[in-house]
Amino acid sequence: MLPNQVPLDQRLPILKAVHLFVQTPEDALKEAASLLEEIHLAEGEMVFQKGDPGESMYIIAAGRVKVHDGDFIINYLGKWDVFGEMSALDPEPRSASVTAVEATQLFRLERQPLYALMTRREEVMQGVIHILCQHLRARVRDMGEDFEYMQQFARVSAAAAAVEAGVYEPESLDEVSARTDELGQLSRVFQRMVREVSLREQRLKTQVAELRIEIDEVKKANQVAEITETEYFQQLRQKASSLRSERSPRSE
Amino acid sequence: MPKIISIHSFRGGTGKSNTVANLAALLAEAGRRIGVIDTDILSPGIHVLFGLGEEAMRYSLNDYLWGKCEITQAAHDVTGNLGLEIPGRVFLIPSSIKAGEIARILREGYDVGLLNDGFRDLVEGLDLDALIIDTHPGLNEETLLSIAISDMLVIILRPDAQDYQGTSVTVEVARKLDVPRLALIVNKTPQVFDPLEVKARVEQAYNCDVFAVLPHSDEMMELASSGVFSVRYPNHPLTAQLRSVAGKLMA
Repeated sequence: MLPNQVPLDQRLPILKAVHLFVQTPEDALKEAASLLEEIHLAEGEMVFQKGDPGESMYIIAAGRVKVHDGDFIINYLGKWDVFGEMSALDPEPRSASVTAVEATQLFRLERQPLYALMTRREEVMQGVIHILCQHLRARVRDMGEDFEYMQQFARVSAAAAAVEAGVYEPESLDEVSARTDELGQLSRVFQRMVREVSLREQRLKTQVAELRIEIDEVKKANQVAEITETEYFQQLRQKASSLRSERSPRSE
Repeated sequence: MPKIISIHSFRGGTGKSNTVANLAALLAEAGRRIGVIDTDILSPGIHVLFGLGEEAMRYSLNDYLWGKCEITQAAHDVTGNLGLEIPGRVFLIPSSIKAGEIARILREGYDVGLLNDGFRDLVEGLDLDALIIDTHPGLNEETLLSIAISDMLVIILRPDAQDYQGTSVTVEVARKLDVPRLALIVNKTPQVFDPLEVKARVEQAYNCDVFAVLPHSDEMMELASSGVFSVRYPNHPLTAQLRSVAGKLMA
């Protein structure tokens, strides 16, 4: 634990942990450091509650806090972690509660002094804007990736519908299957399963074709004639009924 | 009234002899006196199923055809070989399995007409309820005679193109001989086929009764020719189907 009333030179590295100040020159940071308000919390003490108006950011100098919503714990944060950054720039009610889980030392930076500093020192403002832009770009990139993921996911489900409709083309999933993540694996498994099922179906179709009874009538007529036009058959035919009836009366 | 029943298939390998043996055993089990005559002189086989070895064959169908014995002397009571307390009787009239005697039939032929007298003597002499003729595949003279004098012809076929074609010829020929009853058994049906569908299609194609659509059975294949399936597996579903066919033979 740092001593109470941490001297300025020790506060500097703490501020460097704040992402928003990464681009801020050191002499400007010194000014910001003097604005930090030191807070000491005992175990179980709350920093703020969900829904509270938020107008400040916090940097953990020592100890540990939990971010939670009632009993549901969202995250734990420790030394050098920062929370509530955006609230210091743009006030908004807190989206979660934060409570110390052990004796904790925090630095708070309020919005008013931060804005005053940004007005005085243009470099601080530029640094903050730069970082915000980076955030934004990363989010746009993430969304792009999410969108692509969703599109490729839709392709897998479209492929499933195509299988049902009998118009499935295996190549339609090649791009999705090239992914190295779980969606890629799902797609590869899907392709393989469809291949196996369609093979099985093919075999079944062959067998069903055998079930179709096709009789070559011309061939049949020839084969029948070959037998029935013999003299033996003609005689047999004449005798047949008498042969049978010859037997019947005696057996009855 | 005693019956003469020919069981035939256009090609070999349909399981004809196996079916004959099973039907005979099941009818004997139901108390009937059944004769089984192997007219497949050129390639006899059914004696194996009934456990009748060469040394136990006193006389064969060949001896009768050559005038060496009465046909009833060639009848062997194989009921005991089935291995069950069976109330009925199964008499087997085997064809000779001696190569020389098969060759002689090929060389000299025989008076096919004698077969007819033989069938009649068997039915009367052994007081049979039914004589089942295990015919030679194809439609040679003795098969035609067997069909001509039979009260019933049962054709066994597999569900494949060659059997469909051949069966159509046999059905046509049998109709020209005015066989009183004609029926089909579809055997060795692959498991993927729906038996009801097969029955409907075959009945429609031949305009003829289908007694049963029997599945391809691995147990039956395994048992092969070392015994009679229905005796070995009395509670098997296939046995139940065969039993129902046996009932239809006597109906």
